[in-house]
Amino acid sequence: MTVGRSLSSRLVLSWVATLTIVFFTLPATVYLPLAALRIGDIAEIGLESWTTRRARILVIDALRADASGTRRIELTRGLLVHMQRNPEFRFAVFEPKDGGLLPGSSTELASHFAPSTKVESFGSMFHLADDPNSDARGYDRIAETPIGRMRIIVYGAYFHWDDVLQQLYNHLKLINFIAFIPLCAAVAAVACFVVRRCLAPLRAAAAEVAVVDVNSLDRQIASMDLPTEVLPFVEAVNDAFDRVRDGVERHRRFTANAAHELRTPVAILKARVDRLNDKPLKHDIERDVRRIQTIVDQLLILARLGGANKKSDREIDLGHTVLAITADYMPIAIDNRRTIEFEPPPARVAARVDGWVVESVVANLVENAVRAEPEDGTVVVRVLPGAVIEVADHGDGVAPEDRERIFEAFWRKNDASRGAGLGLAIVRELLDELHGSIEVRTTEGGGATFVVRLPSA
Amino acid sequence: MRILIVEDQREMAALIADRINDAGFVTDHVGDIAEALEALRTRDYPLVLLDRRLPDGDSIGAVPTIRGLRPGIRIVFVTALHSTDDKISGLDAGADDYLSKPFDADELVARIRASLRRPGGRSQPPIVVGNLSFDLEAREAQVSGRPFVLHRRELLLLESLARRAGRAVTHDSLFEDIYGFGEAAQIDALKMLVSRLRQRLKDQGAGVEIHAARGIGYLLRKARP
Repeated sequence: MTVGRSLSSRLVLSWVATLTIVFFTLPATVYLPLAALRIGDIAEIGLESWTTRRARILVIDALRADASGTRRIELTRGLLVHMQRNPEFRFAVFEPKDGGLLPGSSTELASHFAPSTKVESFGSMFHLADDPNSDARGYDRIAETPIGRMRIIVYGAYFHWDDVLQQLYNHLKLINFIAFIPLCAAVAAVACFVVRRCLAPLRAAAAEVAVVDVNSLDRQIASMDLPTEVLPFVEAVNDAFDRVRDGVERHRRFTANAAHELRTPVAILKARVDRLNDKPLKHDIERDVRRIQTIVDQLLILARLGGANKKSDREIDLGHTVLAITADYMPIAIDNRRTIEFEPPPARVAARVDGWVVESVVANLVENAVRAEPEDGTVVVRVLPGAVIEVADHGDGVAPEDRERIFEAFWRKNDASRGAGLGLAIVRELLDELHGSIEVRTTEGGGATFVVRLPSA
Repeated sequence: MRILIVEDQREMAALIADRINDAGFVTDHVGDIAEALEALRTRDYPLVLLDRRLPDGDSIGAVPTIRGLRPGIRIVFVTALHSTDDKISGLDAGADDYLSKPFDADELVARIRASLRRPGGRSQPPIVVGNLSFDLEAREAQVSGRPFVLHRRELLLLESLARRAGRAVTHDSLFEDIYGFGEAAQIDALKMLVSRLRQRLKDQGAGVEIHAARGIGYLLRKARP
């Protein structure tokens, strides 16, 4: 999850950015209207008091001390401009040590203040009682200046719109930044918490979706606890599942129908071959027809397995079923001058699987084994406890490096060999669907032994 | 003995008919349910081979009507529908047997014989394998037209194998056919019986061979040239 795309971090960033703007524009957006309307103005601050700080700074800038140590107020350009804009503006600067008035001060203004050396005023707002302008405000304050501590009194400036900028600038104080940090931290924490909390059901849904495969497309993501904002997405995913399921279903039906349609021509072909005279060619054709038939059957079974009821509720006697299929292959083995042998299990072996699945798997393996078995050899079919079926031949066997690949569709050892084609791939697919397994080993004395494990009952 | 084949695929029907004719039966062929019922009204067939999917519907629905017309008739479904459920529904509907396409011709003939063998079945044509002929009715065997005299158990063994000629007959079925349920049977006894029968068939020049498969059973078929 990259920072830029994380919902939490986006939310935190947006919150902090918004808060910064709101917090540091408070003077303009909140205090100014409040002061102008005199709402909650207990201290009688008014708009005019906004001008005093600026005025004091201008006065401080105008303080001079020459080489002899004489101090005075110079009429700087800034001060002059301010005085022009505010005709009523006056100022006075006392030396706090001896109470001396600096030259350039307004004596009229100074006359209202006692040059006390006993009291250090760090800020006192006032209005001159005889001033007809009731909004006029002044400020009396001791401040550090380039020429030492001075008591600076300013009075009589009007409010100008650029005082807002001044106020905004003054608001950017360290203390405000410090106050802002816990606010941001709280907002970030809440944002992260809410996002995590609201998206927890989405994570649960993701876990659900993660296990969906082609056989469990009927799952739907539960939308109960999800935030309404992600519902359209979840619904879209569910709809997509539906469409995929429909597609898979159509595909399955097609395979089933195609396989089903193929059965009749195969049956005709089989009956026709049966009418041929006994010749080696007949056996070859018979074997080919059988292979086609097995594949068609398996396709049909696969298409059907993909459907709803995969787990068989029937229990079969595995020894019995496998014996029946093996017996079916006896004439074929004889035709091909091979024998086939069945080793029953010591006791009844039950498997929870449909009989026709076992039929299909064993038919395919026996078919392959009869082909691999050398002339006059014996293919051995075994059923072992634990729902295991073994089909052993004594042919060339399967090289260790090919033991996985033979289960791939259309794999063949070389161009000359017939190869298992689709057969083993389908067998593996069938067994996967049923949670069974198949592997190939070496038969004692050479050859291949296919070991099939089925879900036992 | 006449068998009715109900099959909409003319080619398939002809091929089935050929094979059944070889086994000594006579066949008639119709293409849909309506024609089948018409045929059944005119003639008393002992057995009908019924395809499931016919132009005028699933023939499973016609089973009660067929049974009504000919109460003793054997009904064998021969169909491309293939699943345990289909099979069960077919048998539930009152069919005697159910064979899915594509099937083995020997299997079909064996099933027909088995169906006809059940109580209420009719006389069947003799089974012919090589020079051997087995009359199921008289329970007599002939080789090249000459009577082939056998001991009781040898005869039972030959009958059991002949009924499923070309197909494996499992040890269990053989025990059942030869020794009955009550009798204790040993695989060695069966082995000896088979080897005796084999020798006799060979002596008579029956032109058949009995193949053995360990753990499975035996198979009777025409000797390889």
